[in-house]
Amino acid sequence: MSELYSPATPPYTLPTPTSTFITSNNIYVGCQLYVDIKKDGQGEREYRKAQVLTIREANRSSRNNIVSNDENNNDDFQCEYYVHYLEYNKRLDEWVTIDRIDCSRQIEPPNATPSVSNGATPPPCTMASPYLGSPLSIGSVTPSPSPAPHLTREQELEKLRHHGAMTNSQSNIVKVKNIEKIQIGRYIVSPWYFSPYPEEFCDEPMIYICEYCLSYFAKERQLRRHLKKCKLLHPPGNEIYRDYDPNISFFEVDGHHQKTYCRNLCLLSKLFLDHKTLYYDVDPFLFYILCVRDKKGCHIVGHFSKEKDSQEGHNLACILTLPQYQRQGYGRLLISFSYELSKVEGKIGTPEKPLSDLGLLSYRSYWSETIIDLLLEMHSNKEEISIHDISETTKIDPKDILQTLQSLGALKPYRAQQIIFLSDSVLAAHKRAKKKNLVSIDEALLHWTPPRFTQSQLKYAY
Amino acid sequence: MQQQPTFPNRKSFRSRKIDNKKPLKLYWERELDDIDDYSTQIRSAPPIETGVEKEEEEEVHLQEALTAKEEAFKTGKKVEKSIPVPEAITDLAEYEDLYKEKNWEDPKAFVKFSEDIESSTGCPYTLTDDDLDWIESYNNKIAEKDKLEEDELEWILYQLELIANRRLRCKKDIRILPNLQDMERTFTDSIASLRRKVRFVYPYWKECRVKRNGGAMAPIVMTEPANSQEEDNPYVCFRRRELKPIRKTRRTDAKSLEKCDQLHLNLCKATNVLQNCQKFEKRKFAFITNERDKFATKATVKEMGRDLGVDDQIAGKPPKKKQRKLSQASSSEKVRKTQQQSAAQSQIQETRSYWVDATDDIFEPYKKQQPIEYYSVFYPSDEESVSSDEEFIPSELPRRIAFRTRIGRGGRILTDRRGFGSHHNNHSSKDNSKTGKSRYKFKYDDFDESEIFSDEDTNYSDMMQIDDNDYKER
Repeated sequence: MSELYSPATPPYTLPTPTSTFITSNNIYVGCQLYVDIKKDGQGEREYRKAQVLTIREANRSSRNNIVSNDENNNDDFQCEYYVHYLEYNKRLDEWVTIDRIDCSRQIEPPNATPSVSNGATPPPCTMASPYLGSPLSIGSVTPSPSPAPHLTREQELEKLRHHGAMTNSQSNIVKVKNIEKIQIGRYIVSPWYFSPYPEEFCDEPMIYICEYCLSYFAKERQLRRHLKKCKLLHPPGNEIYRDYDPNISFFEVDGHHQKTYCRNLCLLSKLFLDHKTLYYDVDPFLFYILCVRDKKGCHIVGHFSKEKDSQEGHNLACILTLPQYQRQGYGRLLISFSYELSKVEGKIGTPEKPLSDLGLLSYRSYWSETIIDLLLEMHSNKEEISIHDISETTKIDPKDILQTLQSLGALKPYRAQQIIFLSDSVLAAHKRAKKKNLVSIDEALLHWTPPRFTQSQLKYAY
Repeated sequence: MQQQPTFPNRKSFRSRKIDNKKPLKLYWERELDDIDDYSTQIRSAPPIETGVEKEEEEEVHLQEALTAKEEAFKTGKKVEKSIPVPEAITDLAEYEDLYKEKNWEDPKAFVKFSEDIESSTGCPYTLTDDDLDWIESYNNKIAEKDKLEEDELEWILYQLELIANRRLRCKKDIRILPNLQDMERTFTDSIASLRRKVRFVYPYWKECRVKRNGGAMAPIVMTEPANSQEEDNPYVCFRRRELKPIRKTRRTDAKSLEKCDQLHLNLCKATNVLQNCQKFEKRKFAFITNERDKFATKATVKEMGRDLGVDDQIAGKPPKKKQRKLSQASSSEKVRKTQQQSAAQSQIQETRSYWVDATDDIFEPYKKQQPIEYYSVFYPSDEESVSSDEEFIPSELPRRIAFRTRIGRGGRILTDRRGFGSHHNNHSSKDNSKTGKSRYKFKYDDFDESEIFSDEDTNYSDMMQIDDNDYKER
C-alpha cells in the first residue's frame, strides 16, 4: 500500500466489496482515497493513498464552515477535504479539492487498510474527543494503526505533571492544522502542525508575529502598532554565548521569570513540532534561544528547551530550527550546544523522546560525527576505548552511542572479541560531512554557569 | 552450542550485549584484511530503539533518508535524501518598512536582561482596526476636553480586558462582566488619570464583548478549561501544575527534630571552640607582651649595669662559675662513663675468650616490660649521692620509691607506688632491714628492680650501647 499509484500500473483490486466510485457526494470523514500529491496539477499526476480527516466548505477557510457528513450530500457548494497521506508525515497533510482526487478509483472505508486488522469497529481512541457534537467532531476517524502499548490519558498526564514536554498520544482535533500562515520577521511560513493559539485566530488567513517578543496579532496594522511600542531587540534573557563569525548568540531564558515570552515561544514552536505538548505551564523549563545578530537585532533562528531538574537525565526537551532557517546546520549547532552545556554540568544527557524524524536524522549525524572524531583521535594514539569512555568524553548517553555505532556498522566481532571497526566508506562520509559543517560551537565562547535551583523553586514541577 | 570462547580463530561469533566498561580495540578497514571472514558470520544484533514513535518510524521519507545514510556509509558514495517539508517560505517585501525603526549594535559585554518583558513591550493590548475606527468617530463628535488619545484608549481597554478576564477565567458569560463602577474603581496608581474617561469607553467595550458572546477583545490563550467537559480541549494549554503537598508523618517530624538538635549541638560546639580560640589568642598575646617587657627590662638593666660597671651577674647573665662547675661535673662523669665502658668491654672480651657463643648474642639485653617504663623514679634527697657514686646493686637499694599514675575506670587517677614499704622499714629499724631486704628481695623479678632504678644515665644503658647486635641495629 505504500506504492505510488500512477496510471500505468494495473487497476487496484477492490479491497472490500462495499467500495464504490468517488463523487463529491460520497466522500466522508475517515474514508481513504487516492490524491494527487502535486500541488500545481501540472505534468503527470502522482496519486497517493490518503485518508480524509475532515471536510469543509471551499473558499471559506473558516472552521465554522466545516460540514458534517449528513450535509455532504448537498451539491450547492464545493468542498475541501483535509487529507493525510498514508505513511507520510503529518506535516504534509493538506486541504485538497475534488479535482486532485482520483475519481476513477473506488472509495475505501477506513478499515480497508490491510495493516488495520481490528475489524469494522475503529480501535478505541485513547483520548476522548472533547468536541462531541460540535461540527469539528472527527471522532469517526480511525486513527492509524497503533499497536504499541499506549499510555492511558491519565497515565500520560501524571507523567507530564512530573517532567517532560513531549507527548505520544494526541487527540483527534490536533490532527488538523489550525493556522493557515504566519508572518515572522522577514518570512511568511506555513505551519506544519496544530498549535493552541487562541481559537479566534484559526479564522485568520495569517497570524502576524513580532520577531522579538513573539506576540501574535490577527492584523498587520496591529503588528505595526506593536512594533512601535516594543523595545525588545533580543530574547528577554541573558546572553551566554556569542560568536562574531558567524554572528550568532545564545540566550538563556527562564520559563518561570519570562512566562509571557516562553509561552509565546512554545506556541510558535508547536506549529512545527508534532509531539510537543503545551498541557502544562512553562515554569520548569529553561529555554536556550539561538539568534542571528544583524543591524536590526537578534533574530530567533531556533531554540531548545531543557528541564531545570530532569529526573531521567534529559539534557534537552524540545528542539526546533524555524523552517526558514533549516538546512543550514543550525539544528546541529543547537544539539552541539546542548551537549556543551552538559559538559559544563558534568552530566551525561540524552534528548527527551519521542524524537521526530528530522530530530533523529540531526541527532544521528551529530552523534556519528562526534564519535568518529573521538575515535580518530584515539586511533592515532593507538588506544583502546570503551563505550563508557566515549560517553564520559562526549556526554552522549551510552545507548545513543551504541545506536550510532550500530548504524555505522562499526561494532564487529573479530577473533572472538568485539571491536570498533570503521570502514573506508564511513571515514570518507565523515570527511564529507565535516566539510559541510559551516558553523560549530566553540566552547571558549560559552560563558555559563549552570543555574542552581532550590528544592522550593523546583516545587511547581511536581 | 559447543563454542569455546577462548578459541581465537573461531569464525562464528555470537553477538552479545556489549559491556560498556570494557575497552574495545579500534581498527580501520585498511588494517584488517580478514575482517570479512568474521563479519559474514555475524548474526544481526537486535536494532536499538531510535526514539522515534513506532508509527512515524515507518514513514516513507524517514526510511528513505535512513537507508540513504546507510548506503553512504556502506559504499562511501555521496547519497543524500532529505525529508520533504511544506515549502511556503517567502521573503517579505515590506520587511524593511515594518522593522525600519529597529537598530541594533552589539554591546561590548554580553547582554544581561532580567526585567519583565512587559516593561519593554509597552501596553500589552494593541488597538484593532475596529478600535481605531471607533476612536475616530468618537473624537469627531465629542467635546475637546473629552477627546481620547489612541494610547489612552489602549490602556483603558487593556485594564478593562484584564479585569474582565480575571473575573471570567476563560469562561464566556456576559452576565458576569463587571459593571462600570467596578471597573472605575480599579483605575488607580499610574492609570488613575484615566479614570475619568473610562465611562466613555465602557459602553463600546461592553458592546464588543457582547458581540463576542463574552469573549475577549484580544484573544487570549485558554489556561484553564471553562468547564469539566473541556478538560481535554487542546486549546487549553499552560495549565498550572498543582503542588503535591509533602506528606508529614511522625517519623519525618522526629527526624527533623533530631536534625535540628544535632545542628544546635554542633553550632554550640563550634561557638565553644571559637571562644576558646579567642581566649588562647588573648593569653598568647599577654604572654608575648610580658616577654617583650621582660626583654626590655633586662636590656635596660644590662645597660644600666654596663654604665655603672656592675658585675655581669646583676646584669642578668648566667653565672659563669656555676656553668664551669657543671661542665666539670659532666666531663668527669663522661670520663667515668668511658672508664666503665672500657671496663665492661674488657669484661666482655674476657668472657668471650672462655665461652663459645652459642646464641646470637649473649649480651642481648632484656627488654623492658612496657608498664615499667611508665614508672618514674623518686629520689629522697639524702640518697642522691648514693645513686651516682656507689656501685649499682639492685638488691641493695630497695628503698628507692617509684611511682606511676594511671587513669582507671570512670576517670579516677590512680597512683601506683613501688619500694615504699622497704623504705619505710629501713628507716624504722636497722635490725629489721635484713629481713626486710630478704622479704622484698624476691618480691619482684630481678630485672624488674634493676629496671625500676635505672635511668638513662646508669651504666646499664651504656652497656647496651656496646652490644654488637644492638649496635648494628642502630
